[in-house]
Amino acid sequence: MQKIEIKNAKYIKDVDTDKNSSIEATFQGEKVFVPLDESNRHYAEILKQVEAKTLTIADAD
Amino acid sequence: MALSKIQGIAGQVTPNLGRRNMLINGDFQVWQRGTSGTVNSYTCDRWYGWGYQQALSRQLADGTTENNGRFSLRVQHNDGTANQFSSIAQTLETSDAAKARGKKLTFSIDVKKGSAFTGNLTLQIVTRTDAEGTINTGTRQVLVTEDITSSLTTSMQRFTCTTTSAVSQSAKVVGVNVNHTGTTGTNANNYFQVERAQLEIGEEDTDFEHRSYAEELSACQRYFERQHYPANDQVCVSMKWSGYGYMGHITCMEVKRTEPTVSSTGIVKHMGQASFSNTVSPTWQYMTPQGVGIYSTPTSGPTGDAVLILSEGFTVNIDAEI
Repeated sequence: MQKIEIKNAKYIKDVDTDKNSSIEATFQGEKVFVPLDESNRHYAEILKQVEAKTLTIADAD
Repeated sequence: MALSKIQGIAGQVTPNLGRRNMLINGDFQVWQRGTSGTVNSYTCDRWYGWGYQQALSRQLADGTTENNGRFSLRVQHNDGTANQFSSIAQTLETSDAAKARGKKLTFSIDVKKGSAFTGNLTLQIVTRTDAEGTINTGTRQVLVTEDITSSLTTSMQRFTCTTTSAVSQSAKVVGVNVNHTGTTGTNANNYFQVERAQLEIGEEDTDFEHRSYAEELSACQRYFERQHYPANDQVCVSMKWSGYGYMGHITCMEVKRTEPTVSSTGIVKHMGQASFSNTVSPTWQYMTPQGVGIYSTPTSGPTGDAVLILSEGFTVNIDAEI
């Protein structure tokens, strides 16, 4: 099965609380912002690939 | 089963038929993202293309000679790897799948094949019990697989399959697959094409339930919506928040299934009393089913009080698909 391509995953911090609030990443060539919600399909796929050690998420700037 | 067979007394249609079709965009009318796409994406609203490389495209409904508002979805296998598959799936969220628990389901759909079709075509009804996610990962149960290959032709025909057992009481999601398996190559005519998909409770298939485009669009927008700000249209979405940047909020047209993913294209400007400034791309935060937050920091331009403007074809995609 064709793998879902995720690149350049990086946490984004909440500008108010300074805690990680979302992930910026390139999904199948499209830049997206993904909430940290397991019901979100993009976040579920990120977790799956992180668990498989095929993806790492960079710290926020 | 035709509706004529379930007429009540004096020719009145049995009043508790309700909304029979559990699928959304079963008539393939709504294409918010465009009319062509590839694997691992939603191209036709609510229908996910998965498997190996494939070309998904909108076609006129079979037998039509002009754009009459009815469409079909074509899935052309587009991968040279031997013995692979191309599929489409629709997964229903828990709130809708719940009504099927303890009941059998029937899936019916119009299907035809291309002139160079190779391999097999199957219809499936699938549930998943571990999470509200796609039916094709996690703890899934295939309730029926119907191989329609031997009856498939290059003309549209209606096919039906029914589960042999009831849906589990712990089902989180229910959905359907149309699978083109055991195929290879990139021949443009190695495809299947579908119309009028319907999933309903019970062991009988009924006539396809037609809905208005407005109803289908609204239902689809629970899972995905695209907001577009035309050229020459300046929309102010925020004020400057001293010490931080510019923060604003865009309200969803429909409440989303869950916290959505956001992407955008186009220009964001900061407008002060006397000047504009183009900026770097905005970031998106505070995604909720009701709306999403936009944030940007100017790199040049107005230094005093200013507002954040969406303009010149700015587009926001808000995605809460399963």
